[in-house]
Amino acid sequence: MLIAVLITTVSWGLGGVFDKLGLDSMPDMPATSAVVVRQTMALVALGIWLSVTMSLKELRRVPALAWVYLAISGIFGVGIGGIAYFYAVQHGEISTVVVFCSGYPMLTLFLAVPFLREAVTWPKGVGTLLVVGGLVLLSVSGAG
Amino acid sequence: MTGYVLAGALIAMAAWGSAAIFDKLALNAMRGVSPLAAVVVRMIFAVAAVCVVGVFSGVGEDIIAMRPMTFVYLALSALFAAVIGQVTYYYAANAGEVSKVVAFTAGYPLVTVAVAISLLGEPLTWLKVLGTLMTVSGLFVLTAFGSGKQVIKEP
Repeated sequence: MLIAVLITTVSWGLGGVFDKLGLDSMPDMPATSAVVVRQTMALVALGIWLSVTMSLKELRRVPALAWVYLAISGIFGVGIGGIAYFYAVQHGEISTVVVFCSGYPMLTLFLAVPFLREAVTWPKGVGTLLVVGGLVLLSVSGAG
Repeated sequence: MTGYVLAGALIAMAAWGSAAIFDKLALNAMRGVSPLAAVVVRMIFAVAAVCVVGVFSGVGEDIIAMRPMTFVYLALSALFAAVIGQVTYYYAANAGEVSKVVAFTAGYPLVTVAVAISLLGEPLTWLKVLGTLMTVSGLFVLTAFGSGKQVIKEP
């Protein structure tokens, strides 16, 4: 299990580095073109993985309501959010942008209070203060 | 961070943070179905959305003109972040306690920072070090003790 966790952490960490290398190799092009290529390749790879490990028929088992929720998440989260992220990476330092964007679970936890009726707890308060403090420091940390 | 970079990062963070609510609602509605199917469905709509934006902003010629190395880098990003990382994450979450897996993997920005500074030559400043440590520590606290179950990883 520990090896899988390590591979996950390193893989996600390296993903941002390759995003930056890709964008640096196309300096005069809009970030949107990189998002189109990158997400399409990810979809193809995930589709292949799903078909190899299970079956594409698994998609038929996803209920209609879940398709609606996933459509909203995909369009706004991965789509619009992805374009904004690639724009920030193209014009900034990856070491700052990745850390900054990684703070999104804080927002999720607080949106979960009214929308999913989850409780507000002390760890959420302390964790949020740390994340917000870190994000403020990163936002004033200089160029990029 | 410049204003434009900060705006982009804030929009991304807000979009990912809000989208996770819908991920959770979707997973609640599809008990017994593999989360990997949810990832694929979500990515189908994401690709459709970015393709629509791409068509209207006219990026077709840019994509054709891309250097092969750009494709290689973007493919490696997709492979590591969207495929290998996602698959091993599900394996770890199934094999162990999700809260511990989520808390540990919240440290992934440290890998990015280390590689960006050592290989890409990005500057290391005290503000960046302190900001990174505070953010990752806060994420650890949120995910380890705040019931933050990150079921589908962005982006």
